[in-house]
Amino acid sequence: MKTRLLDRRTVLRGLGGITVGLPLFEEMLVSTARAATPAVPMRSFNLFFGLGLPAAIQKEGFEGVMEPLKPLADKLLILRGIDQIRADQKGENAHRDGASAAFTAEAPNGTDRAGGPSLDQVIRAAHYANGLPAGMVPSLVAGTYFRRDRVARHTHSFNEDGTAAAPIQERPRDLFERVFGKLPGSEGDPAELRRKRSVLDTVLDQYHHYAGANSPLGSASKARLADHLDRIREYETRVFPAKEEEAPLTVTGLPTAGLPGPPPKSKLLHGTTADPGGEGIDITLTDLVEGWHLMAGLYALAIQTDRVRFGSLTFCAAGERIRLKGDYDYAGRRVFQFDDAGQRKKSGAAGCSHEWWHGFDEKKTNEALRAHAHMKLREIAWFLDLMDNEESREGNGRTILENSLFTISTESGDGRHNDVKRELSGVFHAVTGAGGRFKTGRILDDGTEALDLYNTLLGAMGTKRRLGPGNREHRRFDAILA
Amino acid sequence: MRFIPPFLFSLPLLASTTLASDEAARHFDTVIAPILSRHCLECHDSANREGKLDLSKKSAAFAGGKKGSVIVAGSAAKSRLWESVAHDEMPEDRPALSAEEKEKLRTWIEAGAVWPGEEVDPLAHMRSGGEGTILPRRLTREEYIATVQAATGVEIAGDAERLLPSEARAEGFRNTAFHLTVDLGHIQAYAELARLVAERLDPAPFLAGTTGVDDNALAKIVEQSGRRLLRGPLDGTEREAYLALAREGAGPARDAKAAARLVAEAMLQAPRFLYRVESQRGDGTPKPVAAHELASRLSYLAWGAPPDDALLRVAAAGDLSDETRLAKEIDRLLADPRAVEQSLRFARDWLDLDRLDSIAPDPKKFPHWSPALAADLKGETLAFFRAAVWEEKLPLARLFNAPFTYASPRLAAHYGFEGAKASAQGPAPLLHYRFEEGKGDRVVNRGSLGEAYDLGADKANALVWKKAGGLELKSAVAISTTGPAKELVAAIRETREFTVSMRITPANTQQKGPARILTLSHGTGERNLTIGQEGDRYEVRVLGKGTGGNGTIDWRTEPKTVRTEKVHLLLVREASGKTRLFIDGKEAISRDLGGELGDWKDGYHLVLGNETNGGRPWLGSYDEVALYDRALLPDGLPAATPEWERIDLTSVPGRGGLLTQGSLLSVGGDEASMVTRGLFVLHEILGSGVTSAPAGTDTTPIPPKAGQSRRAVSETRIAKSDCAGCHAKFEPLAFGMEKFDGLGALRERDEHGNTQREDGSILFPGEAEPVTYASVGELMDLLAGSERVARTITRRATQFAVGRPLGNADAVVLDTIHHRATAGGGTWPALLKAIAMSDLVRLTPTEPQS
Repeated sequence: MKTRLLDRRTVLRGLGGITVGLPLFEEMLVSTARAATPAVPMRSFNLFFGLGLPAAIQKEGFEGVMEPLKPLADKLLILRGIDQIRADQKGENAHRDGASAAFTAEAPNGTDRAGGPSLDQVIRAAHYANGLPAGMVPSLVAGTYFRRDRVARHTHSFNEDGTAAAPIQERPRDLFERVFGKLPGSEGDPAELRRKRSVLDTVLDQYHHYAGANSPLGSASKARLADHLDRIREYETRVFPAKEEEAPLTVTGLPTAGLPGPPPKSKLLHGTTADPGGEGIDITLTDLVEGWHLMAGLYALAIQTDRVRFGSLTFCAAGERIRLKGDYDYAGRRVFQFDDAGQRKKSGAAGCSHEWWHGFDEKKTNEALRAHAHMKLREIAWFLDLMDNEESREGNGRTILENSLFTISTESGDGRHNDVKRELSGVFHAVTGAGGRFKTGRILDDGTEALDLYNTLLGAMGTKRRLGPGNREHRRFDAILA
Repeated sequence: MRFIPPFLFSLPLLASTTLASDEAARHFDTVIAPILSRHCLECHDSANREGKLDLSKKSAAFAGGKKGSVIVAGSAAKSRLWESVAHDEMPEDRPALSAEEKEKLRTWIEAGAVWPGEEVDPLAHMRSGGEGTILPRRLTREEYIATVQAATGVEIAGDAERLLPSEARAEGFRNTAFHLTVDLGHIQAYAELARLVAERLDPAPFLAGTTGVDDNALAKIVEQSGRRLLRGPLDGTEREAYLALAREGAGPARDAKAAARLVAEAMLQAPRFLYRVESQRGDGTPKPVAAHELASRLSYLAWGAPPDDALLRVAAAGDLSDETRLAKEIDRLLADPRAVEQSLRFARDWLDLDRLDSIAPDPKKFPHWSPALAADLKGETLAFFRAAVWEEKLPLARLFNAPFTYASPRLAAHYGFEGAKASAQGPAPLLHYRFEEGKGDRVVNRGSLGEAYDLGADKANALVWKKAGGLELKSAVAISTTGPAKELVAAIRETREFTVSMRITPANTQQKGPARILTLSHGTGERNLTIGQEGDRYEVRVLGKGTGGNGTIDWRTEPKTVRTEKVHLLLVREASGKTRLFIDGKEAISRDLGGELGDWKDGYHLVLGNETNGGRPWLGSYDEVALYDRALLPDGLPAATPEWERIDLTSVPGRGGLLTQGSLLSVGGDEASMVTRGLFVLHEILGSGVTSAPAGTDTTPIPPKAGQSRRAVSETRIAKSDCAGCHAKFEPLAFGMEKFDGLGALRERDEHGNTQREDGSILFPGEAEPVTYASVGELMDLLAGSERVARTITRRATQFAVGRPLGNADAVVLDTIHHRATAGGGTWPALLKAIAMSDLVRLTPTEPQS
């Protein structure tokens, strides 16, 4: 007998006002022939927002820039004063060091690799050592961002060797295709299907050999070809429908009938045009938020339909350069009128919102910076809310937000590139309860090292792997444990 | 004697006190140099020498400082360096060394303080990895296209560029192996491309002269396919697997060609095709690369393409292990035209020229800015690089002061070159219809072929003119020339190029035929050219080599391409035969039709809106139609840039060399930032870096104003003791470029009226004293003559060649490469040869089987 995990829905609202019609996928149902209650899958996601929250304004709590997180306060553990100083790399700047350290607690390894694996990937490796269920996206990396001269500015999910866990999807259509895309082949003529099958089987054999025990390759190379093999397997499940009895308890493949068309075309700049040599782009608040809602909404849908259980989502890159314009309202009041270039009276890089952070002064009101930070947290909260609504309620009665580990962080605690003790200390973090493992509904100020925080999270999530140097004495951050 | 805590004596020695010299060199580069670089050189480099101590150079370090010697080889206890570090007295006001770092330093001194080489790389602490991590090198998209072409003869560029994701730069280059991962999109693309290639290839070369389809014949097909596609011999398991596939492909029809195609389709997706698979098993020590693997390394290094038959034969004969033979092969590879293209890829990545595709200067500050100018800036540097390296055969450091460049008319006007053609308009169209008539049944041609090419409607009063301009077709009507388009065809025959530019609005997404938007044809079976609409797709039919009289049938864009909104279609055929359709500036479809035009007829009329004999009506609006006998890209830039000319800069003050070209000068952005330009030179040209700004400094950029030039702002910054330590190392590097604005145009005064200067001084990394220069020319001469610059180029090229960032463990081999390249003249071929002959290419690290 099958049990419904999710209610049937034909329209998904909330994607920035754009409706996307979706049928209920039969594979949202989990066979519970053997289990009394459905298993809640292990999930871990890293949520990143660019430019950070200066430690001083974090102290204002929910009455200040953190106001948008207040409705979710009971389901979040806010951690202030987290220290990422060990990630400071002499010769690099804080944006890159901090961006790389978020979720890894390590300084970057070169310009385009993190110093080690990220939280979600460590947890994935521990719980799915033999791979995720067929048809699932192993790691989904996505975001709404513009600056892109370093990978760690926008990607926040890293393998053991510091390489990106997956290429980032920045266009909603690409994200849609990655997760839900239909591939030609399953409806083709039988002879063509047989031909494709034969070719694929031969190709698969080759990758099995090179990723297997008798491979002539070294371990890192084998791992790389094993990843390739996993992608071919994923391709295989999309082109050739899987047999139901092979995967009774998991999502099996993708529907090929009834899928809607892709989401609307993004209005944002993408690719290299989104980062004209670090000089920044002009963008309205409406376009930014609409683009983000499209992206984050799809990402949420991917989680809700159990297409993905690990990855990262980014709202604005580390060191982002945008000249934002538009009226910002929240809770029925006008919070601020964004006009970065006009207010800064500058064009190009100097007119970007990034510069408010450089000019942060505790003795001043920092109105523009606060408004930008408030807006960012509003958008993070928008996504988290999707993970906490009725459509995200799981078989155990709790929501995806409550059942999973979402780690929210950013790149720095301060804006000035001049004092390591300020910029990489006091880095804002928040975590969800992860199925009751961590305390929620409180704010902790501890000054703990991010490395100890992350290792405590990992321990509670059932992994043995610890981040950081092997000979370091780790301090368990007991205060966060439920 | 100072007190040293007992625990430091009790820590076990990390290494024997006697180290073999090779091991000692490696130990210094990988262990000691990073410690010195991270903790000491900020204050004790050649420039700062606090306490008169310079730890960046061996001779200076052992000479000591104000208080005498600091390193006594063999005795840590007597070495001030160790003592001060052990007591955390040094580094002053900075984080102390860890216990582990201290112990490494102590062990090194006790073991004799072996210091190979002379200088410590100031970035040594940031360089890690490079050694030990062996990753397979997936083919980049460009390499994939070249490999398919070489192995099968199929030109797949258009489809590959459409389907395969492009690579991003990582560590400065697009071919960095750790970044060449695959996602589902790659797998889909590889499968589809393999199918297309298998469909299009000529199976004859794969049949190995066989005529039958028994197992012997099929085995030969498999072997031949493997040799061509997998770049080396097959093993037993592979033979069996592909033979089984070949049997299936041959099928009941016993079709050898079908068998060859099926095997090819599988091999094109196999790891040995998509990756440069190499044996990495051994005893953990480096071993010589197998012959066929070395052949691949050499060809991809030199060409970015697979080895040719000649190289494979030399490899198979075992001759690549002979130094003389190896050197001869490398010379042959570097004499091939493909080596030129590969060098341009290096230049493109090293200098980040693709950045120019997306810069967006403020139009208020740069009213003459256009994407076409950006393309010109990029084109200039690539043309210059090509000429300097391959025609002039200059040492690579001379890229910084070679007194010539290349410029289009637009670029020459931008730079203000005297006597250069100022026209930036591009070629004139042969046909140009603007649909401004407003009434009547005639459309006037404003192009160079004149009124003979005016168009007339085949039905009276059928043309609907729009109030704001433009022509709407609401019912079937053909608007055509009164006579055959002989002159038009003659012009196109001569150039073998054409561009059709149309701004239209389709009335619906259902009309088919294809419905003729523009056609140069006669009826439904004969044509030179047709651009039409087939439902929700555009269809292009062009007569070319091998197409048949009706042109390229079924050559269509993707579904849902047609929308009922204004669109710009641009069909471009280059003389090479490359034919592309752009939709709103983006390439939609591409095909190679061969260099020859084919049998274009001059008896056809040019028609808009229908076929000559009716039956294929198109409904919609025309706003503009133009036709050229040249190939023009979407921004109006000629595809083959025939109007570029070489400019002698000997008498042009302020120009000559890479850093006087707009492509690199634009790194400073609109504001021509001294900081950004200076840092670029420090990082990319001088191979150095600086540490973070001191605590408490406001780093907000200070803008220039009347009476305060950018240079003055910089000098004020450098005068502050807090800033000088770092800024003095890089900002003066940009002083010589102050006269160039954000896009590289020369000016004597900036926007505030401040006089611009070009004199300054440059402190080369590792030197104690700066060297002054009086002009930008002198600055460029200093760079061109600098050993530091030459070494940086060696490093960058080696990184590009081996596909990974170089680590401290590579220091010794890099040194050898540089010396050999310099002895060979310092040219690109000499450098690549030195790299190819080095252990980085000829040996591979190994891992024991676990």
